Amino acid sequence: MSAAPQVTLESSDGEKFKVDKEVAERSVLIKNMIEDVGESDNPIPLPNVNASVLKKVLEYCEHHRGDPLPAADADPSNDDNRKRATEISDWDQKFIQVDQEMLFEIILAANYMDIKPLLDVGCKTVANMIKGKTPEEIRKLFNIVNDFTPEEEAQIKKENEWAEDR
Amino acid sequence: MTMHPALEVPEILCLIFRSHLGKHHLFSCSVVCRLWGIWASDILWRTAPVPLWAVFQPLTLITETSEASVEIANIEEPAWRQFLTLASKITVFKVDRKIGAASLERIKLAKQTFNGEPFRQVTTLEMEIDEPHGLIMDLFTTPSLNSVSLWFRNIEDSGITWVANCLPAMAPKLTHLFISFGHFYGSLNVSQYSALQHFQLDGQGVQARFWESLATCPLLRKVRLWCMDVWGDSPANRRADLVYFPALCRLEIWGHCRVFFKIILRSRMPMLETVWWHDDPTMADCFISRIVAHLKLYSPKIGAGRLWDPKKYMCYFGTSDYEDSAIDTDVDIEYDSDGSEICY
Repeated sequence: MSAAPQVTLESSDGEKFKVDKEVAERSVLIKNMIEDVGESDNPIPLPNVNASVLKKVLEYCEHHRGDPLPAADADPSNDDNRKRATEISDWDQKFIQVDQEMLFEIILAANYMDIKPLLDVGCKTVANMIKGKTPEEIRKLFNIVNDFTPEEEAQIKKENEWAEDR
Repeated sequence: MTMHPALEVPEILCLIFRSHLGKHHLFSCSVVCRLWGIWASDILWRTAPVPLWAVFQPLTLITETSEASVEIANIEEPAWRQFLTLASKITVFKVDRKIGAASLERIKLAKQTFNGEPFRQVTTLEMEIDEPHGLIMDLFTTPSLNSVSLWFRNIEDSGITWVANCLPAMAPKLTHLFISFGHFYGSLNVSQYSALQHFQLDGQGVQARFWESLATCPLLRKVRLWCMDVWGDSPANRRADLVYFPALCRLEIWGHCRVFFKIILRSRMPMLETVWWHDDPTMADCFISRIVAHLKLYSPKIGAGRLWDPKKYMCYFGTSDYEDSAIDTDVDIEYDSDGSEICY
């Protein structure tokens, strides 16, 4: 019985990770690169992902290696598709319990490597952090500077006041 | 510390804001900073049910005497531009206030003056029609609609007839239709709805011919008829022909047993899986046995069993468990799985 085919991924800081091709191909970016370039012993460079983040991402891909891939033509604005994709399993919840810096790095990596389920888990986690907070609390939580002029802020508040919780 | 770069990527922001954040959460996000304001506002207007006054806010003054109606006060072009920008984003629209007659004329004019349809993205429309002729429908109905819920208030029967007749042409992709009115003694015609899959009617007085018109919707899968206590049967259509529903798999009726009896016996529904009938615990045995015999013959998917619990004022014939229809999620109905089973 022959061993499962493997590929080597190289992080931005030069660390190499040898993983099963099936695991690496959870990333649509890598899957497309392998299809375009063909089988090769050369490492696949991932210049936007450092080793600690890539290790975490590969842990996710390894756990979900057998999951069905999301349909390429699934409409992301469709509520049903979105709901299915953002229901967080127990394992995923534990996996994503990381500090805020790592959480956003995982989200960026998932976006870059095109791993939709991981991106959804990350974004859903951020959304849960936002729920129930005032604008000021959100700014404080994510270190966001309020760059509205008073006139702009008043205008957007007026435009959206119908949605305000009162 | 500064904001993480991930929170500056529009695609990521959009995914966060679309992750089941309620409208008040999106409101909070929209006033955090400029960048969040752009994307959170956009998603708020594109996904949440938008009430009428919100989109008319740049143009209107809510009349002081009643918050139930709006009148257009501002007729300057910048305000109209702002109105059109907001209106063009809406996908779920709730027309829940009366619009003054002068304002209706202004909106008509705006539709003609500005290129494009103000509400061209709306797919779900919930609307109270509180004017005699139902002409307001014309202002808010677009070809993009796939779900329409209409509550008719002070409207003439001819207005309801006009709306029902025109809707298929104005919204050809309509798959869900809910109509509610008090009493109606006109001729309700719901034919030519070529894409309609779910239909719900809440009202009294429709004539038997209505059921025939419904049979012309070839994709119709679910029908719920509520408060059908009166079946306005004119002498002209007492002997109506049999009607054929090629795709209907679920039928619910709340009303007098004679209405239910007529509907079942006049229909061929080969794909029918579930029938619910509510109200009237005193349905005569002869009615029940004829309905059962009819369903056995013409609706083979229902199978060889039926559940019947007169204490609960409902009757169920079917094979599948009850699950609430997507048409009206507010209605809560129990399914009695312990009801006694009577074999044919």
